[in-house]
Amino acid sequence: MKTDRPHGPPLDAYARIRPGDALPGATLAVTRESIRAFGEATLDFNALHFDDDAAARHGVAGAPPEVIAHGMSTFSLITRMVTDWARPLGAGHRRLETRWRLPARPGDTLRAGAIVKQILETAGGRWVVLDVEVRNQHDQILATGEAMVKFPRPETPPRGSGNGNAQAVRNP
Amino acid sequence: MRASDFPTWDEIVPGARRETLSTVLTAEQIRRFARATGETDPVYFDEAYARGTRYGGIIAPPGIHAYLIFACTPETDWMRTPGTVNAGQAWTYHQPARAGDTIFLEARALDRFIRKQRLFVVHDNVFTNQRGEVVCAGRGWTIRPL
Repeated sequence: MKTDRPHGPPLDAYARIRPGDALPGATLAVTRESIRAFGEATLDFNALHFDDDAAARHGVAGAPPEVIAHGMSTFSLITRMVTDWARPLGAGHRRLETRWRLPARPGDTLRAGAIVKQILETAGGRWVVLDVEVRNQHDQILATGEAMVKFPRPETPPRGSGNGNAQAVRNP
Repeated sequence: MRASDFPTWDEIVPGARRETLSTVLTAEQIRRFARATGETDPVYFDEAYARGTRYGGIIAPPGIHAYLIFACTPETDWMRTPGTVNAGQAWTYHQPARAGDTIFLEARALDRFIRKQRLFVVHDNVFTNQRGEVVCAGRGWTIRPL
């Protein structure tokens, strides 16, 4: 027979989430071909992504004179990580804010990660706020940001199990 | 197109509407975007599978606005100025874009400033579908060529 957890049996995935939890990450291998494919898939033909000379003219001083990846491809790596985590739990990816620190380049392997920063229930939903970042194979941070995931409120108020579940009963 | 074909930082008016276009989002375009971003969820690729999900059909990944922002703006939009650098983005997602949706964009420059000797413009965008429902809304911070 299974023993109850200290706070009673988990009501659902949301109830098990705690600040500090890490999401399974996601990776992306960047090549000239992947950069071209992203440009063609988004109609973003900015020469920085296709033309080494243009990239050298507009790039950061001291950077290698070669094309860089689209920032939105790094953005989309983060939305893939967040959505692939949220959707099987019945939740939805509802917000993403990012800033780019360094561009990704051909040959880079990017790894996106996320940590639960806070959780908050509102009248309309149950929200998980994530700190996100993307690093390359040299462990340099390419992008940082914040994401929000919304879990639906339970259809019916969860019943108290009599072992520490008073919060859920008081505030269904 | 050359940089001189586009409005410069000085000519961009915060608050002024940008000219936009509508576009029909096809399943093929969704698949192309999903493949290019390493997606594996069959809800983006497989109509038969997608019909059995809570979405009832193929949907696009959230980041599809990276495509829609170009599909819904004319060739002369300043997003395409050579040398434009993407510095940051913030987007909220209301509902997925679906295969077959007609997507509309309301867009404007929202802000313009100088920081660390560089020229910034903030753009503000709302995508809606053929029913007038918001799909997603977001802002982007761009660095403009001097």
